[in-house]
Amino acid sequence: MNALHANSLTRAFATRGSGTRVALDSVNLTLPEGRVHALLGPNGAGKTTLCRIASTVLLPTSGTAHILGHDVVTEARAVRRLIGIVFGGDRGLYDRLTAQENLQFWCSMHGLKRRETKVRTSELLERLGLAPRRADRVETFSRGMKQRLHLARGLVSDPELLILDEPTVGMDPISAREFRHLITGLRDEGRTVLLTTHDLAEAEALAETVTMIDQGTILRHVDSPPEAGTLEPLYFDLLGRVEDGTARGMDL
Amino acid sequence: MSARAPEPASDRPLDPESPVAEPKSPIPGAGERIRALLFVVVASFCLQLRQMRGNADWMMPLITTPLLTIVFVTIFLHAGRLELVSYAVLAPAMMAMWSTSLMSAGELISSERENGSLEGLIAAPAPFGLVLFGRIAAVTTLSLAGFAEAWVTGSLLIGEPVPIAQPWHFSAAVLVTVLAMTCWAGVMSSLFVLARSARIFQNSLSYPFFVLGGVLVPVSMLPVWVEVPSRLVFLSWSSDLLRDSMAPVAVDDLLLRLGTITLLGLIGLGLSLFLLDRTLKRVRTTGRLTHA
Ligand SMILES: Nc1ncnc2c1ncn2[C@@H]1O[C@H](COP(=O)(O)OP(=O)(O)O)[C@@H](O)[C@H]1O
Ligand SMILES: [Mg+2]
Repeated sequence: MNALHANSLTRAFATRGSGTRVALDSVNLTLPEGRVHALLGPNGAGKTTLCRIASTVLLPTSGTAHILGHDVVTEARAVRRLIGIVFGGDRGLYDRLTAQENLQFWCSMHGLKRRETKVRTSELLERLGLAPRRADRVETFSRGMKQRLHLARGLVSDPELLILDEPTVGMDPISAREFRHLITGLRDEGRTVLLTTHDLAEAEALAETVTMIDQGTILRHVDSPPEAGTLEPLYFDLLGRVEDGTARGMDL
Repeated sequence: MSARAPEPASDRPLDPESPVAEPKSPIPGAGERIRALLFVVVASFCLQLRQMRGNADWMMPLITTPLLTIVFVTIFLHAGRLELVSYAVLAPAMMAMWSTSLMSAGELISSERENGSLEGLIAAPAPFGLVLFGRIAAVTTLSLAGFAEAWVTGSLLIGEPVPIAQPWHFSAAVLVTVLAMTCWAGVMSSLFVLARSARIFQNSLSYPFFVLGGVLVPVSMLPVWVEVPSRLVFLSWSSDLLRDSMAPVAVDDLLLRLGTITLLGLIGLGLSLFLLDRTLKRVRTTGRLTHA
């Protein structure tokens, strides 16, 4: 089965005034199960929009998207049981709660029972290297620790598909390397990982497929692990051309 | 963490807006489901308590409660109306409950957004309405601290415990009041998101409701054009019943009055679910909380 299947997926946003901005423009994309997929593109390319639609928090304007065979609009509830999301780097946690309390809360949001919650929480804290700080409030955590806790949070439901939107932004190199290790481990467990990034080295190190996207359009889909050093020329080639052809709005 | 075998696709009919969460597998029975849903409410209740610990913001209305109590009790004592001390104690307590609940509930959805956790909550299988209900219930329950504050202050001023002649009736009235308050605070939590202008009036909204809710002056003493609409506000029934159960006179129609408060609460619950549905639809359609 495919982890993600998008068919003419389009998403437009109303902008101030009466205009619209097309964040995704008739995207067709098929990502098979059990691999690490990188979605690569500059700021404003539409990566987050795709992740939000895939995780049912945003509706498409037109077209369809299926996650593991379930339509994100008509079968949102089924999709929600299959995915884990990590959006927004170090945001999205409850600062006044401890690491453990945060995870416990999200376990109950995913219908885990008390005993499962206990096991899952300590497993994840251990795995993400947060066990020694389990009883500390998140507001005392460094950015990197918050990002790791965030990842743990995305894993509480033991998801088949993990959607990570720029998970390593602002991570120091050592944390980023540990993070890559972790992602490989998740793939080895049979999970699918969809990872957005604008870090070419990260995509090269992790990805088994690479989808390059800009201005809501897929520029290139590479269905094999990129060889070292090949992404950068391709990326600049593709994006350079776009930049020449149209006046790109800066999006910060 | 376990390695995963591909899970067979569920062949149950899936209703995306069904209010019932479906835990993964195996397919649970009804009892199991209700337990899971209750667990969501309890977890959300606890989350809210933990978020509020050591955070003074939400307590602002509770700070004014003893001061208001002093003012009201002193006026009644000065007028020689010791029998009205229950009025003077209940009014600030009800005001604290109303203000605290509305203030905190009004913030809930937008503060989740600011915190970056709203999407996680929407994308989780647990029904968002239950999460909201549990969290608002925590605020409402804690706002009962105003009752204790007012009672202690009043007791100190009159030099003896303010009598609550029918404590069981009083407790029952408090219980249904908290539930009704939670439901109506739920209405506000969506309303403040949907109608941004409502926010501007958030604070001034309180005072009309203190009148309509008969927190100090029983609505039966008000002009009929005020009394009639105030009968639609659960607070007016609560205020009357709480006052009556503090007095040493048998309470008439106890069950009917408890039932009315419950019914008005349920109307609020229905309205809040409707508005929440609208809110979540808007979030998913526009990608933002407020209008463009
Ligand atoms: N809620 C929104 N309202 C209006 N425009 C939006 C909204 N979300 C995203 N956009 C626009 O859609 C485009 C794609 O954004 P996004 O998916 O966040 O890109 P990326 O994640 O690749 O940086 C951008 O031009 C952005 O400004
Ligand atoms: Mg983005």
